[in-house]
Amino acid sequence: MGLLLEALQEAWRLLVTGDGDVYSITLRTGAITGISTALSALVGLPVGLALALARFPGQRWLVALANAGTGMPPVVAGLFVSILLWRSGPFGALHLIYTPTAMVLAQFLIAMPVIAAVTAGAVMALPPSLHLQIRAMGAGTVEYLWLVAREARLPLLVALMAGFGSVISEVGASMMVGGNLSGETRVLTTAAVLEVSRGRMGTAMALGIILLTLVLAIAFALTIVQQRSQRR
Amino acid sequence: MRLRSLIVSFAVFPALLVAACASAPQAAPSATPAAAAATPSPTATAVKSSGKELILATTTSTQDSGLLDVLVPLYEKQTGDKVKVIAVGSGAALDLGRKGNADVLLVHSPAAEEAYMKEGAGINRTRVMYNDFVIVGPAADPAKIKGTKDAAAAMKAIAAAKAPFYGRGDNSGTQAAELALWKGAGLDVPKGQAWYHETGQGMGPTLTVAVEKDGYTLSDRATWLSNADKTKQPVLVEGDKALFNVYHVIPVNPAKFPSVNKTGAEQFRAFMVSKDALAVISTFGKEKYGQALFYPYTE
Amino acid sequence: MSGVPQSPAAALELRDVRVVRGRREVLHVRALEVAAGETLAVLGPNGSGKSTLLLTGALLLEPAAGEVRLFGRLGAEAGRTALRRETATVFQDAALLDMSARENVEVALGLHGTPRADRRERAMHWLDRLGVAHLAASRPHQLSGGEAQRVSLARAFAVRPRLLFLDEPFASLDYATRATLVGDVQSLLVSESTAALLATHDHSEAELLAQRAFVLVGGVPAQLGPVEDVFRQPASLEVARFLGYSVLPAALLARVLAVEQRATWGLVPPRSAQVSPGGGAPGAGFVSGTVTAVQGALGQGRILVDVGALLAAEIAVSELRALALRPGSAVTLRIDAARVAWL
Repeated sequence: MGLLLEALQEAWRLLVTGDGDVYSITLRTGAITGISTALSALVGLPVGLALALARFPGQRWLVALANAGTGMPPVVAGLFVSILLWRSGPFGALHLIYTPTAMVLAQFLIAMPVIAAVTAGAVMALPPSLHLQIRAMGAGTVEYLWLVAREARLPLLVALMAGFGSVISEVGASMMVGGNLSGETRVLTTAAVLEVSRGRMGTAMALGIILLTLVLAIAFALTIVQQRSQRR
Repeated sequence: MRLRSLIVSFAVFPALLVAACASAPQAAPSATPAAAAATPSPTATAVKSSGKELILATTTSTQDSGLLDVLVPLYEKQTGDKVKVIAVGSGAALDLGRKGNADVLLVHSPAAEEAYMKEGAGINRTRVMYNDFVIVGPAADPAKIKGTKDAAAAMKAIAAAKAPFYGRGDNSGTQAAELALWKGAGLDVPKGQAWYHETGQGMGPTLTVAVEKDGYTLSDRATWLSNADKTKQPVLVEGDKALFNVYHVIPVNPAKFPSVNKTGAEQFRAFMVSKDALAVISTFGKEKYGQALFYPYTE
Repeated sequence: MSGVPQSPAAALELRDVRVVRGRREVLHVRALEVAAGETLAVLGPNGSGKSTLLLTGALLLEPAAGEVRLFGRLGAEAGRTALRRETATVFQDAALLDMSARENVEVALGLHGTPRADRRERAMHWLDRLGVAHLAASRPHQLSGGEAQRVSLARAFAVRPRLLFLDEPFASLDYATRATLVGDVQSLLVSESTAALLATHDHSEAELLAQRAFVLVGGVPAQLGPVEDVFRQPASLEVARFLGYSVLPAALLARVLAVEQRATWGLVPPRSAQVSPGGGAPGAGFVSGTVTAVQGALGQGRILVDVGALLAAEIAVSELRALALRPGSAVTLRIDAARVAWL
């Protein structure tokens, strides 16, 4: 009990005094996860649409693959990106290992399949007459995709939340490709792990609380958007 | 209407990005309260920036001790170089060097290092410092090893008593030392036996697990000093030569891996045995723990 | 099968069209045309291929073989979207997009090339003509089935289609809503001189809205001709049964009606038999039998009477109750010989 109390006290102290390090770590976490989620959405949404709507041989397998991708172990993604970006790897010359860019890459590999799979599921759940009606109204391919995406916008929001959630709390890949470098690639999760290994539970707890708050805030905002558009 | 709200929530991310970019240039590392006050004056020898980043692969215990938080900024100030400190286990650090994915190594696993040098993966292996390992355990000491001078005998006693023991199990220098102790006691590594456990984690978490489970473990003194509850997890065995923990700095062989920063690596090696560095090493930890965590041990 | 003199630019033309689903051929039509401005009703029992025919005609479904021409132009890959912009489709479920009624119409107008400035006005105009202007801001989940269907129709008519595809649009509506809506659609089809292909299993709709009827049974054409002709003289037993006729051996019916037997089968339309209680056949045109089943459909009562063969007679529910008819009751039916068809 004493440890928990002490940890909470430390957490409070750090948050209230506005520790500069914690502040920059938080901003960096938001930026990296924000960019990787945005990129994942940029690619994942169209991929999900294509998976659901296009007709091609092996479509079912590809959808299964996307669904499997939602279970991608972050550590595997981290390992894969590391192998690519290490000096000994094919892209070593780019010197991207242990940079925020590498972390965005790894997080992209984790979040993109999530967004694609949930999008595909959402679009496939739309009533078939809707697809027919949109095409019957004279929609070309682009207009069709736009209208379908618009019809499924609420589940697509869920897809975004799922993608975001899958990377904001991720630590294995971030540690591996980012190196947890102070001032450069240290994010809330990797910093918390470091503090735990150093025995500084209070600081670790504080970082955890901040992370939770960040996640809650985003989830709250997106849920409000969702509720407002909800059919009542 | 709803589309606008969607765009708004999307704007949250770029806003965070802009704010983060604004604060990114600052690379101030966290100031360790335990850092020695010593700020030695720069040496007279002109040191130039190698122009490239320097990847230093080292061990988690080295980083956790906080020593590098003082040494590395000092080096960066002197040379203007940027050092990326990647802390993994000794085994993993050597592996990074083996593949040319790091420029210089700071490790403490002599047997593995020798094998590494035999492979020709490193050059100019230089001894820097040492600290020692200690066997810690529950205050009740069921295996009755307190005060034993012979570390191997202590391990034998633990095995005989089947007392819970928590090893690192992560290919680290500390694990290498532990394995050497079992060997020295004439025992096979007790892997698989009910009383023997491997955490697969760093020293800090391993100490935590051991104290929660009333078990024994082998730890480097620095981590024990900074992490452990001294009353719950006291030092029971210390001082044996077998418990010496020697650190070497090894630049990765540029002949084998042309892409390494060989100037930077050599510069860092020289720095680690320079007067300034040794001054930092010999005083580090005195203020906080009453004793230095490392002892200079140059050749 | 009677045809229609070919006009130079038929709204829709199908030639040798086969549609396959899985390994089954679900539709095979050698030739079918919808003339400009005419309404053709496609009739048939469930699963007969009506919707398939409609979707193929609307270029929403690609046939395994055959040609589909809209306004004389072949519905090939490239031209489909352009051709679809001259037609409109209404489905059984209104298939409204998740936006206000007015926006639904505006989207359709936008896709058909109406300038942005004109869209709102035209949308409101057509919502008004379908009687739902007051629901312009309502979202789909706030609309009843009938209201939603009116919006869907407004959306369809607003784009001034040359050909309108109606896929059982009234099937999900209750009787009263349906009656009003069918009337409104009928007047619109006339005033806009839009050609239409209407799929339905309700022949009263066909009678009201269409000039010609095309009966599909099992994916294959069974009869084609002016609506009255099809209904008056079914071309086959399947068509007759689908239209609700009772099929009796011609010999039996000829004896009842005291006429010469000229064909194999006698077809009695359900509304042409008058029911009175009790047995005894007082004369020509009367036949007695036993009630075997009492049914109801569309607010009307119906009894099946065994007169040697099964004959269905429609009867008002009130009369059904008044006469206390039950399986086993004896009734006498008076058949209107003028309405009987022979096959």
